[in-house]
Parts: sequence; structure tokens; C-alpha cells
Amino acid sequence: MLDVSLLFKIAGVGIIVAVMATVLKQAGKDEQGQMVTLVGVLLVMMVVVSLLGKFFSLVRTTFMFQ
Amino acid sequence: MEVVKIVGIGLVAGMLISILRQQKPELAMQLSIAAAALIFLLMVSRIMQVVDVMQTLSARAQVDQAHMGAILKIIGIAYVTDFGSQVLQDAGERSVASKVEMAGKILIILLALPILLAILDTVLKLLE
Amino acid sequence: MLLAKVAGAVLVMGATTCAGWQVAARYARRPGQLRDLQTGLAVLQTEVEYGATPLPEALQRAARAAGPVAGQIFAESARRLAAGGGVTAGECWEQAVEAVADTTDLGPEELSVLKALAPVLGASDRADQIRHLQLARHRLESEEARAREERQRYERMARYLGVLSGAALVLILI
Repeated sequence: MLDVSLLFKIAGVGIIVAVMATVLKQAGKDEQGQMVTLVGVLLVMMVVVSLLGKFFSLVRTTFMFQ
Repeated sequence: MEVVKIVGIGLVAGMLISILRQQKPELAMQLSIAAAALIFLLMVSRIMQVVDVMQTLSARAQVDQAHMGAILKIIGIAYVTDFGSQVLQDAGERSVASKVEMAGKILIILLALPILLAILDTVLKLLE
Repeated sequence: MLLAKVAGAVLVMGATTCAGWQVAARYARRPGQLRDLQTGLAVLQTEVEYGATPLPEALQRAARAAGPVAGQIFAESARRLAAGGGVTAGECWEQAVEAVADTTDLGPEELSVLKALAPVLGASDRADQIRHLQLARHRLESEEARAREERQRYERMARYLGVLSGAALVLILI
């Protein structure tokens, strides 16, 4: 879980969301496109924030809790 | 060859981030946070080894352990502040980045004060 | 373990892609069926106007002209009428429309246009029937124009979305 594949997952979701938003915009459904973008950003944010949490707690223990 | 793995992750992340930045800059920022956090997580055990060595050395040199703790925390603050500031600058948020750096500097000064006072004491004692 | 993952991924992507294609195909088929409906109604109108054909046979001719999908409405209507049992032509028509609707790609708008013909069919005088048939054809024509425009906009989109949502699901779940 904690290796390169995580980066690919995030990038993959990002690219797919970007393409979906473009396709929807071309078909005239811009609002749906923006919703899809928002959902994608939130999904990725969930993963990244949890990762950041692990990172910060590790920094705390490594450098003798701040 | 641990360093190869780390550098590899960094390069792959860089490539993916530059692609994402064209389409969805907000996701590019998150990806760079993720990459930095990932690399740190992978390096943690090595970092702790370094910290251990530093602590053993300082104990042997009879440095006050409280000071040693403060120094360690200062290093940690510097690292985290730099990480946050760089990510923010990459995302174009230079004002927020500079505020983060300022906060880090203030905290470091606060932590360093006791050490400075101790040094001042020692110097004054030497001069008497 | 890896094989199971790959198999699962292929299945998910295949499912969403097919779903997307089916939606796209529906958009593609609708304009043609609307045109066929118009043709069928035109034949019916001609039969009423110039021929003295009884309604079941006129419906059969319209069915032939309206092609395999839209023609089912006319054919089913003719069948029910021929089966007798004291049902009026209008009721046969309406029942046929409801029975066949699910097998076509027609939507509620055109189905209501068709059902509006029920009280008129075989009941009122010639001129009145002709007027109503003409009106129905006119409405179907504007509906067809809308369907073509929808197809333009949504056919490609549906296909792309099918593939993309499959990929997104695979990425999230893997």
C-alpha cells in the first residue's frame, strides 16, 4: 500500500476525473463535470490527509514529540 | 539500494505531478504532499537510527539531555516547516508559504532560548 | 491473487463499458424509430384518406412500412383488433402501444403523442382522423429533431463515461 502504487492511484484518479470533466463539458453538462471534479478531489483528499496524519505523528515521535 | 527506490519514487511523482498540474492543479498539490509523506515514511527507520546515534554521542559528551531534546525538536520543526513551505510555493501560494516559515522561525527561537541562555551563562562564568 | 485482481478489474471495466455503450446505442436508435413511426402514420393517413381499406389491414400496411421496431405498434394493434372481443380500435391501439413500449427506445413524450390518437382511431369521421394523424406526425417530427440533437451531444459522452467510470472504480478498489 505504502509504495509507488499509491502515487499511481492518485494520479490515475486525477487524470480520469480530468477527462470525465472535459467529456461532460463538451456534451454541455458542465455542472455535472464540476461535480465529478469535486468528488475526485475529495476522494483523493481523504487518502492524502490520512497519509499526512501518519506523517505528522511519525515526525512527532521521531523528533521527540513536539 | 534503498536510495534507488526513494529516488525512483521521487522521479515518478515528479512526472505524474507535472502531468496533473496541467489538468487539475489542486490534485497536483495533493500528489506532491502524498509523495513527500511517502518518502518520509519510508525513511523513518533510518532517521531514527541517526537520532539514536546523536543521543548516545551527546550523553557521552555530557551535554544536558534537555538541551539535546530541544535541539532535536528544532531540527524537526525546521524539516516540517520547510516541507510545508515548499509544497505551498509549488502550488503558487507564496504568501501562505512565507507565513508558515515565519511561524516555524518563531517556534525555533522559542525553543532555542534556553540553550542560548545556558551558553550565555557558561560564557559569563568563563569570563569571571 | 494477482490473477483474481486482474480478472475482477476486467469484469468491472467490461460491465461499465457495456452499460455506457448500451446507453449510447439507445440515443443512436431513437431518431430512426421516430422517423419510422412517422412513416407508419403517413401510410395510415393515406389509407384513411384515399383507400376504403378496413382498419386492421390499413394497420398491417403501416406496420410493414414502419420497419421492425416501430412497426410492432401497428402490427400488435392490428392483431388485437382482428382478435375481436368487442374492443374498440382506440383501445386496441392504446393497449398495443403500452404492450410494445418497453421493447422500443421510445420515450414518454412520443408514447403520449401516440396514445392521444386512441380516441380518434376508427371512431370519428375521415377528415377528423386525417387531421389528428397529421398533427401526430408533426409532433413526432419535432421530437425527432430533438432526438437527433440529443444523440449528437450524448452518444459519445455516454460511451466515454462508461469506460472512464470503470477505470475509476478499478483504481479506487484495487
